[in-house]
Amino acid sequence: MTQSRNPPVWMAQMRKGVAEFAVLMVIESGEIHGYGIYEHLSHRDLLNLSEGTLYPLLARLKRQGMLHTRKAASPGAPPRHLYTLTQEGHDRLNAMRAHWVRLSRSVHALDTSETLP
Amino acid sequence: MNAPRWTPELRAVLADLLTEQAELRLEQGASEEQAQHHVDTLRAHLLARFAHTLPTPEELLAAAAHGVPTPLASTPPEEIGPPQHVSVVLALAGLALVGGVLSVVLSTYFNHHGETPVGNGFGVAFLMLMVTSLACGMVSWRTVLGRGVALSAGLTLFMVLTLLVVLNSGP
Repeated sequence: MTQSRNPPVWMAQMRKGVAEFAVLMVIESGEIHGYGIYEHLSHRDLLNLSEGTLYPLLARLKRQGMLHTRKAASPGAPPRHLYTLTQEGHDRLNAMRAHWVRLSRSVHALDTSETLP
Repeated sequence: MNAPRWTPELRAVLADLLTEQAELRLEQGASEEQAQHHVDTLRAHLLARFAHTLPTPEELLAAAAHGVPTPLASTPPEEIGPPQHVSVVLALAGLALVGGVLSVVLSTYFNHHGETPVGNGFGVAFLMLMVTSLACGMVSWRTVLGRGVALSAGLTLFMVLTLLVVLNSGP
């Protein structure tokens, strides 16, 4: 049987739902470049985002005031954009964390109660 | 021939470039999906452009600036439509073409029935309308409709004038 190159829609939707959460978590760990975020996520199972998804997401988060950018000199290349979380970004991430815990707990409880006799 | 491997430095330049393009699109009022589509198109364009030779960062930036696919290429096909002024010119070209064809039919009719002045009047109207149609078609040459109208007007004008010359050159 041939496997489609694109993931099923439900899988893509679940990943899209946590993409922003994942990106904010990566940036929380320290000042990082856009390509660094891409590389970081590409090594995580199920969290690898395409560049076409990641960069517009970064642009949106920046516009929403979640990210702060700083230009850092790079030898032989244009200055690089480095991202850090703003206070608003930290607040959003913490809210997402709390929501994620509640959501996963609810899903787990639902799953457990359905499968147990 | 193996494609050269893009260095992390070059990928970083591409990342900043694509993020800036996405920001620009969002600032222009595009949705995140539209910005994603643009970034994907631009990325594919640049990777194809430098498939055989690695660019310098400057070359990459220049290619993005000069070789960015036009809005036609970077907009999903369902959203493509000619700008409003082009639509107006196209409508004018179409009307002039239809009017011109009608004029030549009426000119032939009146001339055939001995109403030469009226026939000649429609003949002049035909010429003016076809030239208008040809000009408008050429102004909107970048659209399929524009090319179609310009070619139709030019061909009709050529055929009618040739016919007139042939008819009047007889003994």
